[in-house]
Amino acid sequence: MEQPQEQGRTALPFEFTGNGFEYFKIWIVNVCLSIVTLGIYSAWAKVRNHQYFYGNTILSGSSFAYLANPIAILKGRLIAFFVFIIYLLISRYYPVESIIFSLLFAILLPWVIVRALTFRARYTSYRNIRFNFKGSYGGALMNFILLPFATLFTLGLLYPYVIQQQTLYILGNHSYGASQFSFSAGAGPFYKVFLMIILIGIGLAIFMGILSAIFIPLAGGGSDLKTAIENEDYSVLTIIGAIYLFTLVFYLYIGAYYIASVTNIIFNNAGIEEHGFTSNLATNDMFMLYLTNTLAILATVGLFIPWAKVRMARYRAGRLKFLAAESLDKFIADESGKVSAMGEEIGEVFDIDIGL
Amino acid sequence: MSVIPRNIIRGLFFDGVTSKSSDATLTIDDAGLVHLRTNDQSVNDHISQLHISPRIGNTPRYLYFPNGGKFETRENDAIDKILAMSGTGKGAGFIHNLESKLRYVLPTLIIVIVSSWAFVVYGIPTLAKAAAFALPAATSEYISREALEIMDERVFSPSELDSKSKKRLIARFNDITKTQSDKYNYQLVFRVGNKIGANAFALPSGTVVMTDELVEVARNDQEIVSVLAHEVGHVVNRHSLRRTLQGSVLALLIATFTGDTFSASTLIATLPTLLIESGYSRDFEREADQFSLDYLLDNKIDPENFGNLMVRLDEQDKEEGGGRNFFSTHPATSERVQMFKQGRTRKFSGKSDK
Repeated sequence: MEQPQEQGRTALPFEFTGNGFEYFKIWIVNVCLSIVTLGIYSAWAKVRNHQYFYGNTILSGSSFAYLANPIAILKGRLIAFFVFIIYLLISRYYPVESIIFSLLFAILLPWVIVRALTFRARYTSYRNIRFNFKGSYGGALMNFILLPFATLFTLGLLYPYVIQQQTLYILGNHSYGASQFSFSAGAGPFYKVFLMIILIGIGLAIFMGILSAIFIPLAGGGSDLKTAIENEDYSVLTIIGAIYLFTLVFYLYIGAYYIASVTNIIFNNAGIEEHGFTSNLATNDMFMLYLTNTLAILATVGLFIPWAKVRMARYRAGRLKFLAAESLDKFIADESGKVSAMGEEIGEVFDIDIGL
Repeated sequence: MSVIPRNIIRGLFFDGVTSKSSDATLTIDDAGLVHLRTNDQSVNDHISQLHISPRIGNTPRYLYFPNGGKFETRENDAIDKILAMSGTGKGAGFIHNLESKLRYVLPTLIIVIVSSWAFVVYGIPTLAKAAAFALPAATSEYISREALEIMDERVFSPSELDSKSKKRLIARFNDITKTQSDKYNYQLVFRVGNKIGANAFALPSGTVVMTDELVEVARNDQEIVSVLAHEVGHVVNRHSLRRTLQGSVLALLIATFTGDTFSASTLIATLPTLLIESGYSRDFEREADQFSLDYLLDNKIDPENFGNLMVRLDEQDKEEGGGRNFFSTHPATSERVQMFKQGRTRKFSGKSDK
């Protein structure tokens, strides 16, 4: 917003042109048809959802496109569903043997991650040039299995480093046409974010401790939650409730801080050839979005979800700029190919959230 | 063939080789031939050879040409007109119609709300029940043994009940289980409950654990039998497996709806999940109560015994100020007693009517 120029590069704004009510109508039809077809339509719903958000994301006059074939997604979804059911049954009837299943899963997971990233990249295009992902199995194994496993033995001290390595792996292996993406940040900025979160957390714990110590005896309770419920002691219950609520709100704030700062670090250090990005998400804005979205979704039993998604996409896009070193006309296509949707959908069922 | 001028559509053309963006115009003639022109090139193909992206809201439309080029335009209505003229893409238009017309919003909304409610309240439990009974009855002994070992370590101490009472109660327990067709490894064991107090619960393998405290609170064996029958009801109805299945399907369902909304979705999903699961849990308790009630009636034992014991447990709980967890899967004692009393009245009055 402030500088149109940065190191001789032109800042081109991203823009999200979607509209809450328009998306609501698409969303509700998606949900309805998915229910009526016992979930089969969900593959088409997913594609339409993505197409809506990609198509409304505009950079320099043209939009992003999502090109995946719903049939491929449906196939992957069915496979993932059966794997999930089998896992459920094995872990119930053979809990000891299910450890083998988990091990197998850990071996397969990197492959699933690579497939998922490749699928998403290949079926995303901008200006009729596709993205691609060429990460190796070994890299995924290292960054998504071995390193996270190692953090267990370092009291989590390694965690920010792992996040940095994962970002490096994901971004560094992505390309747009024949041009490779790069990521130039070290682990330092990530450590700063986590340090900040720990400090906020400690501060909050102390603050809460003091608050409970003062107010609960004041209200005449002087006891715990159970006794308060037994005695129907509403003044104590109100205070305990207020403290819980405050904690939830604070959790949301920390979440907003984390998402905003990590997203900023990632984009501000990402590049493609001589081009770059700037992202300046603000924690307070993100927090207010999360808070109001959460309250509205709760109050409308979920019907606000489409508006929430549109508001978030609009804010994120509005804070993102592409720093163009030269014209955007110079990227060249890479030879294209197809990948099966299986990896991506297995990833989705097991709730693996990867990407930026 | 003349080109109809009113059909000029403006947009951008990308050749698919470089990211170069060129201003382009597109026209279609009566024969369905599409003419695309940019400053330096022109492409002509029949409309049937183009791949045209479906309309989604007001997102840009993409027309892909056989040579790999792509025409991108925001003039959705004009593209729809072309499609209508050439008679292609009718199926895709149907979905867009649903998504864009205000008059379809209310019906779809009602379908979604009613069917999700019905699925959660009736669908999931029915499916889980069918699945649970289709699966082999034998659950892993391992899980049950593990669970009991953990409880022994953290909560229980060995029973101090005299062996005569134990034998007597085990005999009553065997009376209940011997009539059951499923081959579970039925077993009644006693423990001192300590912090869980007067209590009893069933493990999926068929082992029922009863605390000494419960035996003490009971005024006669019939009261204990009513509780044992309730616990056997949990085993016979495979509640443990059904709870697992229902919980998994519910989690999957909620994740699908709130999924990838944003990171606070977990926060949003927690409350409904808790509420629905405690609802399922209450249904299981009702089913186990029903089993107990049936057993008592079949064996000419007054169901009042169950209610009496529950009321006494409730009073004891109040005196001691706690013992039962507020957020546990079991409903509050008073609520259960009332539920049972209602069931009992219904059953008894039903019998006397005959």
